[in-house]
Amino acid sequence: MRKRVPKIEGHALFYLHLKSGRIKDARIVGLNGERFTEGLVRGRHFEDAPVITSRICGICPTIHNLTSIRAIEEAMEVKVSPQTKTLRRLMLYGQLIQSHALHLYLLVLPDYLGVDNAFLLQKEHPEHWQKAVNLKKVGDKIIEVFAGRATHPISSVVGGFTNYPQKEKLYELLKMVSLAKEDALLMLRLFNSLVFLRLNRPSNYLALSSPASYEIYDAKIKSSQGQVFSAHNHKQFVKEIIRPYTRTKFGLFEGKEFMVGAIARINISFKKLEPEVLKELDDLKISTPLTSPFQNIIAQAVEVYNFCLVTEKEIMKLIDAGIKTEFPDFKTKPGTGVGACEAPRGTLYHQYSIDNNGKIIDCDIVTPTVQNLPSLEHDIKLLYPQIKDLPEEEQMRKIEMLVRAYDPCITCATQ
Amino acid sequence: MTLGIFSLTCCEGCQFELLNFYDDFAHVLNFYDILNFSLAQEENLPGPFDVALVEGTPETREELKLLKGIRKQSKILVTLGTCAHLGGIQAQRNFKESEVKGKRKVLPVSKVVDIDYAITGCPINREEAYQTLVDIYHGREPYQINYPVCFECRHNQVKCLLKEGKPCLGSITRGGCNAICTTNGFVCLGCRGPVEQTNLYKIKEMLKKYLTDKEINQRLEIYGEFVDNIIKEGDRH
Repeated sequence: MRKRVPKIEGHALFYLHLKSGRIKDARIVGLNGERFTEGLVRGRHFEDAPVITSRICGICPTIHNLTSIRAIEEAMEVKVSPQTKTLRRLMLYGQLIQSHALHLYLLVLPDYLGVDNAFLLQKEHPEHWQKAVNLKKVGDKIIEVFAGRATHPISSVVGGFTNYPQKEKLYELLKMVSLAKEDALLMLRLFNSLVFLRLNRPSNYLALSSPASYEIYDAKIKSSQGQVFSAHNHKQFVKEIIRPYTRTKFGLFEGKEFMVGAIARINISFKKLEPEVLKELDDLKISTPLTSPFQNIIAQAVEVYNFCLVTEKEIMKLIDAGIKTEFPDFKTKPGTGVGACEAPRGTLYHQYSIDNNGKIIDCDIVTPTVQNLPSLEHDIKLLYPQIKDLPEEEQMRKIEMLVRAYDPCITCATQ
Repeated sequence: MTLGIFSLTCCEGCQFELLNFYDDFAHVLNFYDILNFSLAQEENLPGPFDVALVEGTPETREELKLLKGIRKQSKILVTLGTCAHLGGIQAQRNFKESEVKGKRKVLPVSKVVDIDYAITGCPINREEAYQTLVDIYHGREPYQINYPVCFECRHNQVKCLLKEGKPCLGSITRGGCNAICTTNGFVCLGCRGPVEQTNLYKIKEMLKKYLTDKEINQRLEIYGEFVDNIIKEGDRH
């Protein structure tokens, strides 16, 4: 049984190998062509890397841009100001809000409301449609204010920013975020009320973790089984392997499958969510650990609400403090550096080696979807016994729903 | 009219850019019925289409077949974005000797099938895309801007980056992006392709002050076949 999965980022199909009613094997096959991004940046000046790598993905360009910048700054030992860090974090919050909102409303929700696509959602459930639009817009707007454009950011470069927003823009943004947080709360309640397939499957969850806050920009990586490692050691723990049937790679943690993404972040950093969010989760009786991949959907909704609140606070602080205009100032230095940030879909690693003249000698990128694929294939096998008595079309629909819960991005995984 | 929106190998950013402000896109839906858009809907038909939008470059055998099929099924084929127009970032490998050799050349859509119009940019300017779709609906020839980014940059009252010593390609790149990069303090890298009457020799002279020959070529290659698309004197009709 095989079927192409529509409504995901990129092109993929799943393939089930069945033998007398039992499932023998499940595969996810990426259909995108390879672009060899890692090879493309080799031999180029480091300034080109954030521009080129952001083009890996059209839904999460900001995170590729920032992770690549971080890795290059590590390699050349560039120090950036606290203000730059704050603005970059805000960009990431915007990235998470817009990516999750798009995935949840446009790709996931139609499945559960029984409509074919999001445009019908507009006709049949205008109340949900409007919230989707508001949240997506606010996510895009945050990135646009700080980096110039939402799809493929512009002014965010190695060392800092080339342009800064005017104060009026911040007021405008603050107003939008304050309105959006209500929508985000309603969205969390909506997604919590959906009926998901049941699949209890505790896994090893990996995410950045900091003792102080719900960190997604700069911290060590922690696993739910207790291992802690820093970004530059990631190759010892997370290994990419190649399987013959697909162009995407597969990531394993110490040889085993694991999960990254919203569900992993919530499981690792639950207590560091905003107090308002924790109170709401208590009311909704959501507690960790979340163990079903379908709960990734709820975890994303939680994050949208959380980051709307955080963004609002941070922008108020920025307005009080005022934005200083400071331009990148650093010297080119040879070295090797790794950046790890939390993308909407999980931990993203970029690694660069740079020579004396600022040319990139080596580049390695490990995307979150690559790390999730082994676990996804395994979960299809686990889900199958539950759905095997349904008509074939229904079975395929259920498997598609599982694939979408993982929010895979095949363009990133193939890059 | 009927519309198909297709994605070959690329980042799919142009599709997301189309959807970016759902309300505006929903407005375009007053003119078109979408028959195929696998990013957003479950049921997708193979055609025929009045208009097909295609982004990305065909990298696999299936994609080449798909692209040729789209051409057969569509009255009007419009390319979306820089990948389909110039080859995009992946087309850098057409110019690399050692790094990713042995791989097939990246072909922009227009080198595989005939195209009717091109909406350019990485990512596209969504207003321009909506305008093109509405123009086609009304049977008008879509308007294509033919002035350089410099024109818009001046209009936005931005200081000239080239004069500040930053190697900017705004003077040879087709406008229509409202000079979004230079307005945000970043040099133009030519994603929208060359404007007509580009004087490549002159711009290379100017860039030599800041970059080596190799770096100049790398800069012109960042989005693919920029130089190949320059219309030479006498080629124009």
